[in-house]
Amino acid sequence: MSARREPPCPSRRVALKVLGAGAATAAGSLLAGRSLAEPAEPTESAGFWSFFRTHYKEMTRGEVDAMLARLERKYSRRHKQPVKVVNTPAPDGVLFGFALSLERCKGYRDCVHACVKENNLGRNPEMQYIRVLEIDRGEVKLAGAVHEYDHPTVPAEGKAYLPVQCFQCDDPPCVDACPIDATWMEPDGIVVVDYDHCIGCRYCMTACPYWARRFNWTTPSVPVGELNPDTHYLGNRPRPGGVVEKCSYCIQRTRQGRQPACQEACPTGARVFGNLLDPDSEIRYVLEHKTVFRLKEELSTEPKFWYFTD
Amino acid sequence: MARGAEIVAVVLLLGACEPTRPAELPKQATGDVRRISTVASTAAPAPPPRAPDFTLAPRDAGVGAGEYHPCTECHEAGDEVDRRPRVLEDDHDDLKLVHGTGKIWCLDCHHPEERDALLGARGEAVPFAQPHRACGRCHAGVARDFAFGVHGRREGNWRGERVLLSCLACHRAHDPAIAPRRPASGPTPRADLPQPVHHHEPTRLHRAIEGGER
Ligand code: HEC
Ligand code: HEC
Ligand code: HEC
Ligand code: HEC
Repeated sequence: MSARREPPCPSRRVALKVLGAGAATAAGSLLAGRSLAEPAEPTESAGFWSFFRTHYKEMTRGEVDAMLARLERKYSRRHKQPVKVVNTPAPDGVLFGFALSLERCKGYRDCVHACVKENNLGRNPEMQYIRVLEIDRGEVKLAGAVHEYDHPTVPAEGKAYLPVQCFQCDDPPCVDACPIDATWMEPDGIVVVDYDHCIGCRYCMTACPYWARRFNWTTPSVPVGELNPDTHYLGNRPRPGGVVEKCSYCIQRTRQGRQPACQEACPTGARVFGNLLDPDSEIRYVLEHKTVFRLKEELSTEPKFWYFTD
Repeated sequence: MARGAEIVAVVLLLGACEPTRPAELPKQATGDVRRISTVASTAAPAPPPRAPDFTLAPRDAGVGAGEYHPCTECHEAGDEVDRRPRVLEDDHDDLKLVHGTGKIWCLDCHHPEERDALLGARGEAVPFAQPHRACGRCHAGVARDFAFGVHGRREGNWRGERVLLSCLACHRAHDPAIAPRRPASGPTPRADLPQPVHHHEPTRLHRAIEGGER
């Protein structure tokens, strides 16, 4: 790859943004059977600035700080509560990984809902980053898996549970698919989306073999007072409509040393999270002492998410 | 409004300029994951070193709570102990020992002399606040996994001081199996997710597509 920086292509970028709001979602709205006459968000200055913005990774520190301050003002006004937007960088020497015990997971779905709250997912209708698949006990077969099971109690007889979410692949096909570099892998291994850059083309969704990305048909609405105000620019900050969203291993928490919300919510302790580069971490203990597998390993996307049995 | 024309315009504009990728964006895999996963699948499980230190998260129920504490109010050190498994009538008559389905008895866990303590792996007295050391007498593998943080749950952080949930936050001492419960609500139907699988009779169309009937 050449080291020369390509000149930006303003005509395309601006056109995409201007039309993006109309056309990209127009295609979506047609599919969803929704009317185009839906009232648009009131125009805010932050939206205006994002038209002409350079790529997030090329912004100077001052530009980023100004942008974050603008977003904080905008979100605080809209959500009627003080909202913080940070951009904590990736910690040194850390590569995040997840492992999940198939024996301990009982299909309660507490992780799903904790994730919705933590990450300010839209409730209109509710978007969920985690899907808990119900499969037959014994062999892991995805064909025939259901995620809308509704038994009076779980685990159901003869069933096992396999939660899936973004696996933060180390060789992520979704990143390759993005025509404008709105999604990339950070040094700590988290695949992020710049929601102000994304044009909603959804190529990444097609490229993802795990169905881990979600498209935002409308601006996500979170009831007043329910917004989690501790947000990260590349994570759970309020997203605009018409963009693709995904799990970020709770970047706003994990980069500050905290556990992801799904791990914290799991009553059975099925989820093990940590630093893959630390040989003394829990996750490395799992990889070295348990039987582990990953979904669709043959695709060589190198997910940083393992399932294990004792 | 000419929606079609708008979409065409986007496509044309996309074509009008070569996609650019800033050179410094790291895109490629770190390689660490491939290396780690190879180690994971080939390494013979080496004898694990000592687990890093941890403390237990405080628990409101249990230890010290309930009508039978302290035990020494009735059981004095040096009292004769009755080791025969039997139905307890005078006291503890509400206690059902489901754990171990008849293979174990009270004094396999409760210290026979130090009555306010549990029995540790080497016969030592273990405070009620450290139950994992008593459980480890019989569940050594689970207790090791627990100490390494892969059975049970680490609270709060993924690095720094380790705080673990007590075994008894998840398992009841005398009936440790985890009872089934109601799952939280399921997903709302969304256009970008696979649609619910309905297990009703296939329609004629289904059968035609699957090549059965015509
Ligand atoms: C109110 C008095 C009382 C208290 C307090 C009490 N016990 Fe007992 N416990 C008894 C009596 C009486 C028996 C004998 C029951 C029988 O034989 O039917 C007994 C029997 C037992 C036995 C059966 C073995 C043996 O030594 O006979 C165990 C084990 C035991 N108690 C444990 C405990 C523990 C542990 C506590 C504290 C958490 C406790 N007890 C608190 C009255 C008490
Ligand atoms: C598998 C180990 C084990 C066995 C077997 C066992 N206990 Fe316990 N018992 C415990 C532990 C651990 C606690 C502490 C529970 C807590 O802190 O929640 C406890 C708590 C108690 C308590 C106080 C709490 C309460 O439930 O009121 C009594 C009394 C008691 N045991 C009596 C008995 C008696 C009597 C037997 C035999 C019939 C028995 N235990 C068998 C492990 C055991
Ligand atoms: C004296 C030995 C002994 C001690 C000490 C002991 N257990 Fe057990 N435990 C058993 C036996 C025996 C079984 C039954 C295994 C079987 O049936 O195959 C069992 C089963 C279990 C099970 C599986 C229950 C099920 O039906 O799924 C759990 C969970 C468990 N123990 C937790 C604990 C905990 C927590 C402690 C510590 C408070 C503990 N055990 C201490 C002997 C012990
Ligand atoms: C965060 C909750 C949690 C904690 C803490 C926890 N367990 Fe478990 N444990 C589980 C779940 C969930 C299962 C699976 C139960 C099932 O399959 O029905 C399990 C299974 C077990 C089993 C039976 C299956 C096996 O793997 O042998 C034993 C024994 C057991 N636990 C012992 C312990 C002991 C001992 C401790 C503390 C050292 C402990 N557990 C701490 C949640 C927990």
